[in-house]
Amino acid sequence: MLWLEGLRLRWQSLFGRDPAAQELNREIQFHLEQQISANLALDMSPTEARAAAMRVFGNSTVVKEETRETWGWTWLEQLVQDLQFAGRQLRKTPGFTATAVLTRALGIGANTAIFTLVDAVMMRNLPATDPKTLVRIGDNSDCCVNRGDVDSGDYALFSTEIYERLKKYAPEFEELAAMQAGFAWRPVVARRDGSRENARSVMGEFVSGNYFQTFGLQPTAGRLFSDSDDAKGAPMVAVMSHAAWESNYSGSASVVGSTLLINTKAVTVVGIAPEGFSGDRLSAMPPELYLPIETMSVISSASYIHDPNVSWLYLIGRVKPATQLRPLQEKLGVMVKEWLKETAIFSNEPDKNLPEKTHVVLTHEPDRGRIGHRDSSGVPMRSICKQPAF
Amino acid sequence: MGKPNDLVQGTLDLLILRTVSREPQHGWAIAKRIQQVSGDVLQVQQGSLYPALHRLEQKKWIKSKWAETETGRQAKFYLLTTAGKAQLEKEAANWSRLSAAINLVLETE
Repeated sequence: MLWLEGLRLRWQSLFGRDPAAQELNREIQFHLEQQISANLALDMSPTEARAAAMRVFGNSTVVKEETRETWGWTWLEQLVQDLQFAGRQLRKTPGFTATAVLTRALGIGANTAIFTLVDAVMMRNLPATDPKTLVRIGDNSDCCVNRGDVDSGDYALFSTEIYERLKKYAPEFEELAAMQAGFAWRPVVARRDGSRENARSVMGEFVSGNYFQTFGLQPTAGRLFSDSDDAKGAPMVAVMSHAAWESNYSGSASVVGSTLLINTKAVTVVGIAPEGFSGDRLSAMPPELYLPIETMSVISSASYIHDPNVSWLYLIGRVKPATQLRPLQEKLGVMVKEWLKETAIFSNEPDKNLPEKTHVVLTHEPDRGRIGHRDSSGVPMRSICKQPAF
Repeated sequence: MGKPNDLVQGTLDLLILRTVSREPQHGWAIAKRIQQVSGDVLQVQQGSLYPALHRLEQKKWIKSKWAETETGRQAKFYLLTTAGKAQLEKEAANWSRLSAAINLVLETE
């Protein structure tokens, strides 16, 4: 009777090893034996005595179960039984079990992978000071060098002239930085002067002089930009990203102060950006070099950087404490609309009017969310501001 | 004949507490003693006795220990705790009141 033995073993595995259950078994066994000896004393045969005792006692399994229930953890035993039952059922159908397990494993794995990516990309803030006060003017990915109006009326790309006027007439911003929208489509060729390394095509982003200051960043080595670097006729300088410094130059201290030939122009590396800073937006190819806007006409032969009719900059600013974003957004929208009217494309065509819907949207999500994208109440800024307010 | 199941809820607890208040007893002796003292009227079924004993132990009104019987066998003995003594007094008083009240009702013409 092999199956009976197996049943007994399984029974024991659930109850047998438990000292409390064993004690109960002993207690009830003792009771039965007392009853049997009492019956023997009444001149019953041993078989009779035993049968009578069992009869009086009743179903000992039921008694044990009812007694165990008073211990208050029958639910645990039932859980164990349920799990064992589930296990047996699964073992009976290996194909189904394998499919189910694989499906679960893939699902969990995919979830973990996606969450890891989302966490790395969206949840972690830039290593910027107080990201909550950083806002981007504009909430779309319009790129890279544009003229004229935008059909949607939602502006995110600005001319240097509008940037400078906003800086002047929007005192709500402690700092307002501008950055090249389309750097990814316009790489620079760089080579270290005096070295035998090959020239490489790398990402270089042209930024305003207060760019690093706006994010509240400190250099790893050397210094970052100041406004004087972004002035006409200033010596040409560059800031290298920490990642590029590590991977191309093994973090060598000699890089700071050395000369790079960028698009064949001699540019001095004045400092290394802080570790973890990978630019102002989410990008597969973050900038290796940051360069002042004013040097762009020389380095990249860009003719348009002061053309009031050409929009090519993204704007990110740090608002002063307690600034109300919604009124600011409306004010900026009106200013942008007025100034756009002055640009040639509209002023030369008196019939053409800027559509009424012209506006800007403030967001904490610079070009698909990299800078801390939640306001102090935890509600994504996007959902507050993204309304056709104009 | 009154089976424990027919007894008023809680009466078995009272009987057990009273029985072990004299001296530590094991389950079989408790049942036997209740039967004897009640003149064979009250027969405690094992199916009620052991759950009740363990329930009372959980409530800390009785405690148990393994000891040798007169015949040298190991058995689990139950004895009254201080809390159990207080509970016994309370339940005994309740029972007296209840049975007196029932008697009054029955005896009143």
